[in-house]
Amino acid sequence: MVVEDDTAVLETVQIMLSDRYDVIPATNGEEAVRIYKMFKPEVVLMDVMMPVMDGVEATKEIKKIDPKAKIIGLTAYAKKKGKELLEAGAVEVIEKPFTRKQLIEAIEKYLNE
Amino acid sequence: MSEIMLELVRQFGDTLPLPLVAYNEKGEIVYSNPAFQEMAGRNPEELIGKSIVDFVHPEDVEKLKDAMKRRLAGESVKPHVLRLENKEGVYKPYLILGGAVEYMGEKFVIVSLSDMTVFEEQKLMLLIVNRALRHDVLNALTAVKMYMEIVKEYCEDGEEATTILQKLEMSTERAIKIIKNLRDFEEAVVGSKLERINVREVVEAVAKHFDIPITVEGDCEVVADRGLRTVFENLFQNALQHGRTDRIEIKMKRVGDFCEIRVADYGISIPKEIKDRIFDKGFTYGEAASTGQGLYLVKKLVERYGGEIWVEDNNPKGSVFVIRLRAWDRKF
Repeated sequence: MVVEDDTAVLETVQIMLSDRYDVIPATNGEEAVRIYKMFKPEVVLMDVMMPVMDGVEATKEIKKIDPKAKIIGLTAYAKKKGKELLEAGAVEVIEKPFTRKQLIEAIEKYLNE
Repeated sequence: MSEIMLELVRQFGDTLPLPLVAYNEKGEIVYSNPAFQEMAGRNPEELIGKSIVDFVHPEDVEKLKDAMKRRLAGESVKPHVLRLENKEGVYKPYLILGGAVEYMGEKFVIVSLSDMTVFEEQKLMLLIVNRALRHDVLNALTAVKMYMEIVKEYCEDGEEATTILQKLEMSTERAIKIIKNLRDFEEAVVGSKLERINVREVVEAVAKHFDIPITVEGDCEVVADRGLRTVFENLFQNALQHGRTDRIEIKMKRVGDFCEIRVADYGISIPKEIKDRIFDKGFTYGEAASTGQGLYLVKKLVERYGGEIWVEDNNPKGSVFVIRLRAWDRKF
């Protein structure tokens, strides 16, 4: 699942990953929690600054549902927001702007765990 | 205030270049120095007996009352910022420093005011620039970078490449728009001197750049600056992008000392639950969400002109943004 409120970023991540994986999009944290309950995606790529519910809050909520959830943070504020995401339960944080290679390497690492 | 006490305060206050005001336990002004009179645009007689609360922004009244209560109780109150109305009818931030004195059983609060406008404006500007660069511009450029990667790696099909290139162009335009908005923000917070602006001329000039019918009724001259153009650009763009309207109607008329401008669209109405938040900094909503700066910028500009803005439902559908700006030939 890719959680990102910026439609252009969401679309490009989907295009980049859709030839390898089934990608479920979500545009805010609340939607992500709802989708997680239904589909239990294997890996979640989570943006931080989003309307309705931010990525830190959504990570906490998902971890309550599934403590083993593998959530990879995506943020421009890697130092500050990245730390908050890791504290909330994310397994790793990738700084924006990122490349397709970075995304795939991170996803593969946690898919095979 | 006793005459001896008043004389002491007067001797001190009259020479002080900062606004200074003394008020009693009821909040009634008993003394104001020339700098305060200049700030308020009133003579000393008009100020005596007037409540200090009348000068404070409605949202800051509780803060004022709390500080007053604590000072009168003998507690020390840290310097704090309150918004006070100046002679132009505009609320500006002032750093408040002061204390309470007691003489012959009567208690008074004496405070000095330092204009914090420049400091507050710079602080706001820094926050906006930082947020826009770190979040909005970076997101736009992240998308650009990835679209380019996609073009390189995947697009052998010419048609698909054309679509991706169009999206690249859109993301680049978005980054440019964010930077332009930042420039307009600078105008909004540290802008030029306010002047006489004909609203109809501004609206007609902006309307030329939109592909939908935009009709204008009425005429008004208001206190504003060239940033007023940005107000209408953002409102029209908002009606198109979020409301997906097919037309916009603008009606303006004089209401007392103000000019009321109603910008009505016939698109998708703004949901009730988000109406209170649409002017907030960084607020975005729905699929067409953009930078979350547009309506915040509109509000900041309107406030800089000493005006106000709110949104109402249009009939049968859509929204009406109502702007009230001070008329150029107002009586006050």
